Amino acid sequence: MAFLELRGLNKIYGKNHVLQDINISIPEGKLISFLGPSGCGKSTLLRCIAGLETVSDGKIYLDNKDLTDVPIQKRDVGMVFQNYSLFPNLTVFDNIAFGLKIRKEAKEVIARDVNEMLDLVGLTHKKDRFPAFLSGGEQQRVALARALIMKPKVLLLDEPLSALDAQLRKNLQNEIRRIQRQLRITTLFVTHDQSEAMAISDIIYLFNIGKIESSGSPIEIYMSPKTEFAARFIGNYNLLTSEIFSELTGCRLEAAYLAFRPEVVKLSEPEFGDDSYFFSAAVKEVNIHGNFIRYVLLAGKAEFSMDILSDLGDPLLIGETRQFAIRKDCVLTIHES
Amino acid sequence: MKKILSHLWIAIVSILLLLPLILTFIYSFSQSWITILPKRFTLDFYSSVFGDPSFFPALFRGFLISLIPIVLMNAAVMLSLYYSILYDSRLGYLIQVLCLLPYSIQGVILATSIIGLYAGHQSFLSNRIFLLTMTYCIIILPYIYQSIRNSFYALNLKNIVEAGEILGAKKFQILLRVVLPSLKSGLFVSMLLSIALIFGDFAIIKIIAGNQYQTAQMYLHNTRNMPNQIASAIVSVMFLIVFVISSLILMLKNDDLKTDRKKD
Repeated sequence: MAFLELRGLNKIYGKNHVLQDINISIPEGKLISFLGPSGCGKSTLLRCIAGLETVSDGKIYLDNKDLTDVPIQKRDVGMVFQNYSLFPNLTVFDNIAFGLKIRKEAKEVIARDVNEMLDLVGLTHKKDRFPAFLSGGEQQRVALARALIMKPKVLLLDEPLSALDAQLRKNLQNEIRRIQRQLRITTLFVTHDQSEAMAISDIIYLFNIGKIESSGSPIEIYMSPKTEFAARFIGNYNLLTSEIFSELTGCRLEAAYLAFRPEVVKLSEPEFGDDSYFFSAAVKEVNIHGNFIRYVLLAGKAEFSMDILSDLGDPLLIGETRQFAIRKDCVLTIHES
Repeated sequence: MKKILSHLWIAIVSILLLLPLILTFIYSFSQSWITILPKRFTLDFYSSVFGDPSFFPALFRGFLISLIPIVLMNAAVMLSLYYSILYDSRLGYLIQVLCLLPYSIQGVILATSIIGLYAGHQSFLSNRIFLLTMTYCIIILPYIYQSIRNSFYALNLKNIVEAGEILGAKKFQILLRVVLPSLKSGLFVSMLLSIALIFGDFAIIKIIAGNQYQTAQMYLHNTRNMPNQIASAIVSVMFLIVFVISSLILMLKNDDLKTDRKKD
């Protein structure tokens, strides 16, 4: 049995089947992301593991113990919420010490552990501040320290970075990863941001309407999407039906969809050979994204995007028609819709 | 020009509002005032009020009858809202309707109805002090409810309780260690507002308890056959007390605003 095992988990609210037959095995010490759009059930699953929601059916096992009906207080899990939920009347020190005080630890133990945690999250100099006087990033780190100090078997992070600005998010992603590796704590990270999941995870579970759509390492999920949803949600894949792809390239492939990432579309060069599909397309839109430019190209009924690094020559102009190429091994066949 | 006009308007309104108070205050010190200006000033009326052994007990009773309904209603509303937010949010709507209903009932009508309903009852329900306490409970209910509800929403109660439970605490421990201390400012404001409201009431106490329970307002009513300066002195003292209470409320609100600004 894996360290954390979810077997046949279902959650039903009235007529809504929020989680449908979830089966997951999570090894110890890994950082797992639950990725998916809003309302897909990923946060509900996290809340079921925490004990904040009851499951309608199925079992949760943690470290060989059945956790399904264990009260929240005795589950040995830590959780960081989207809005941090710090206690406004307590200082940073007391917020972090709260769980240990409830557990009636000795004062010396509390002081030692809290100071260690403050050091770990880099907030020693702000230990006497109240949450209202901290920035969003600092509040997030206090919430993380408050969860970690209890030495939980599993750390649950429910979109902990979604309220922060882009730069701070990246910094804290790295910080969460550093702390997780340092403490080797099994961590479940809920996010709707695919780039965040890619950057931080050992394994990603992709959710769609209460079901696991696919799972694997970030590179597997990104490079080999198995379903139309996975292809659309991860990596901004271009998806063309078999007919449209045939009209575009002159080659017919048997599949529900043909998928290719925007960065594999290239401006045609003389050295490209038989290993590529060639076609002519017009530039419909040009979107500057900083380090790359995203073009929307139009060829007959086919509309798709192409990413080119910003430093590769002059940008194409809207309306310009050029010859493009895609390497054949970069086109994936999707059989499920 | 606009600025001058607005300042002028504020000055006129301020004078209109303050003039009766200032004149009452001056009158309470005057020996007699039958021409444009008072003739002589004296502290006799104040010494007469403060020397009366029934004045301070009346003040005390005024505070007591204010405090009991406030404590009762704060406890009732807080526990009901705590339960509804944590366990059954649908109850929240029912609590809101019940708590805001007294806004639509005028105090005098309420008091008269209560007397009509319970006066002849052969039980503790006809006890006038009990009836008065319960009437004040109904009157202050909307104010207490609004204040506590706003504090709960600002606190994000459900998430706070969930965070505490995951750290091993029971709901009751979270209520005592986190929720109540966080609501302190909101509770204090609602308490002071209610004290000011009840302490200044005369009509309801007159209808329900009459002289059976003499508060400061009833004491004032009973001085109607004495020199008018005595009534003015009592009004001045009571105004001063309510003013102090209002100032405390303002101070607390300003503290909250400062905290919010620092948070931003």
